[in-house]
Amino acid sequence: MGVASLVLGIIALLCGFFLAGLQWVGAIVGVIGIILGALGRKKPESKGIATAGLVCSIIGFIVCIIIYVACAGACAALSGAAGSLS
Amino acid sequence: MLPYIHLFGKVIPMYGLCMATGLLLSSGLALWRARAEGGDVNSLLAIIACIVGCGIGGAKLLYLLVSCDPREVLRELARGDFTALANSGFVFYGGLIGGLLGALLGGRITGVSLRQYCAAVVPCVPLGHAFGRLGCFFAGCCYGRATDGPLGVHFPAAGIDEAVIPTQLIEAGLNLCLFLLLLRWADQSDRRATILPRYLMSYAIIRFLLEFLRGDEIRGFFAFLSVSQWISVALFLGCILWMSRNRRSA
Repeated sequence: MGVASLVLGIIALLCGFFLAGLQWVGAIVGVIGIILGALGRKKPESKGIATAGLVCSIIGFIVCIIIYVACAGACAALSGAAGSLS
Repeated sequence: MLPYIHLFGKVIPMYGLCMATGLLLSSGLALWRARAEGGDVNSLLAIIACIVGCGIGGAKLLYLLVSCDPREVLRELARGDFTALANSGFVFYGGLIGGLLGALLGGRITGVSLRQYCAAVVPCVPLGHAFGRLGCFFAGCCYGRATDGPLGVHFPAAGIDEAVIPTQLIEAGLNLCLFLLLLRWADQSDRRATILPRYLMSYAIIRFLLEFLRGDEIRGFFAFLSVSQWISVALFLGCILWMSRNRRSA
């Protein structure tokens, strides 16, 4: 679980920082990484790597959210369709 | 209106920044409160991730159902065209319903009882929501009706020529008041157990009344009320039923 969390966290970071248009994928992957990291921290043998995965997943998720949600909201508002967080 | 800021040479979208800030603050506070009450922080973190993930999905889904043609969206997705997903907004009530379902999912995954975390988590929801509404203000969406009064705000970049009521700021302020009220209730033994229905009923009242001040027509309507007003009514009545059943069984 810890390794899976780290892998997903790295993917979320890559989606957030480098892969334009895939931030929504990064957000989903980041959420799953956070869940696996949190659960992995409960086991002493994988606590370290799970913590690393958790941190990467949280950062990746936050970066993806900032870019993806903002684009969705801004597009909706600026195109006259409005109703971002309605 | 301030859709973007420039920080360290980067363009940072304010709506996403506000939402991320709200998520971090509310989640951090919930985890801190749970830890102070002796709860398992790791399990709660997994539950919060489920809530946030399902909440964002639910908010997006309700927007697509209310403001777009669902069949057209499905056709686009089948063609591999994700434009509708990328360019459409969110509806808070969809996020709330999705978040509640996410909490149930999180409880299943972690195997812990959700009741023990309610008093720690529920008061933090309106705190995060308040920041989300600040993001709406900066993005120029979810605005109110046109007004000549002193509170009128212009959103020229959103294509609105006249001054409108800043319902985003009003709701953000009311959410902060609700946050403080829920913190107080969570500390009272007789109200702690019903903190979730109390929050839902309080927000339903706030939202129902604020909808009369809203001016963005893109949000859905059914008969003489907006979709959010109908959801507010259903939520309020559902909570009354829930609380009266609990009182009878107690």
